[in-house]
Amino acid sequence: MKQHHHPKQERHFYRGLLLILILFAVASSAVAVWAVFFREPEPEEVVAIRPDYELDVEENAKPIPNDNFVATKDPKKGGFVTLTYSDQVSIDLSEKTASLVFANPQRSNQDMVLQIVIQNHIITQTGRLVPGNQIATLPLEEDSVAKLTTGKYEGKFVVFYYNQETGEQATVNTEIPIMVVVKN
Amino acid sequence: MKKRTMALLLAMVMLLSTSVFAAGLGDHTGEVTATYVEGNDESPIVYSVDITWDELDFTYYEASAPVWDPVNHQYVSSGQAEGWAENDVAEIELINHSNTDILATYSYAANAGYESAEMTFASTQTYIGSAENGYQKTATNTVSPSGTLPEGTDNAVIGYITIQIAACPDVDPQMANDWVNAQQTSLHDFEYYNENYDVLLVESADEVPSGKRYVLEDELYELSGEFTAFNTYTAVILSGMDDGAELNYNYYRTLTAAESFKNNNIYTKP
Repeated sequence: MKQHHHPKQERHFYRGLLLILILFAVASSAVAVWAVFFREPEPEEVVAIRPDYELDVEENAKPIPNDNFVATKDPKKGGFVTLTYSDQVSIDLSEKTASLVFANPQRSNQDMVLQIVIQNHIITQTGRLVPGNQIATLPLEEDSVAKLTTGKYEGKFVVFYYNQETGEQATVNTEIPIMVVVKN
Repeated sequence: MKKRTMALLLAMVMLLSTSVFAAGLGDHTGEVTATYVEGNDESPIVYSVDITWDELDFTYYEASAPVWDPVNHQYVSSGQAEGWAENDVAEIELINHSNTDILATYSYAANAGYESAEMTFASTQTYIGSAENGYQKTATNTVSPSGTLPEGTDNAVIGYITIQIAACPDVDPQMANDWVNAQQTSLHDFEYYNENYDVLLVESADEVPSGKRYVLEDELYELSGEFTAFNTYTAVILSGMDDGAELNYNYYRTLTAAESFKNNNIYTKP
């Protein structure tokens, strides 16, 4: 039987190659473990999530001054709303509040529920905003504050409408692009 | 001794009283403060939009077998063809009270299980001008169902319509001020309205210079080439369903003074 002789250089080469392969296998395993157990999943599209219609009235809402208009549109025939707002929102992380301008004037015949959404995350959501009321400040939950850092974000208002008599959600909703400035 | 002590005490009291009295007269210094509050360089934008929608309740009819007519010895239609009811069209109206232009975009999302039914809008986008000139602006859109409905559907919520209201995209500000909208007629004439909604008498190309943009329904146009009466000119669609498409118009009609409209900003399909 012919014997194979392996010169010293070849042994070193094969050892090096083996070491590289082992390192590669370890690194690949580490990445796989991270991907399976530790990687944070991409947030799913949550804007389609609709609030239950039997929400409490928003406690941070205040009456709109000098708003005496009486809605005349028959609520049984579709809906009528007026949206009055600013597309600029500011968030104070230390106070855990959002400052905004959003009103549901008396002329509307629908209650509203407002969401502030940033990058598919619902930052905050109001209770029912009854016609004749407006919102200037909203408190933020701890987990919402934790998601944000100082800077500007492109977000949106998502507005849902509810029949004042039946509480039934309307099949029309509104989205409004906003700019959110986050400060400490 | 007693007298001296008393005199000394009295002198001290008098001296102190003088000091106190002296403190009540003379100069006093108090700080005067003032604060300069900067005013707004521009009036802030206030959005105020009315949205009105018809009842969005549609009916789908299944095909019915024909009915036998014993008089004429033939089968006749039961009357209702398969499909959506003929009058199943709902209106959505937006009125812009804001001090800026807005762009409304309409979309529909079906609920799970009802993807076979679709909603078709007459316009997927409507541009609505600012109310800064004192006139509110209105845009009316319609939505109607298409496709089919699963058998057994009974007064179910099959989907939701979303109306996005956004600031209007960049439009030539001169264009936005002078030319609010254009309404295309069947003869491809263009009637231009200024912000007071008077139809203008356009008698020369200078009044409608090339490079100006206007919005027609859901598309943003830009005129190119010289625009003169009874001439050929081209409008390039900058933004819309047919981006980059060129529309050639060969006729332009000069309008008379009698043809004027007030408060008319309703878009209709030609």
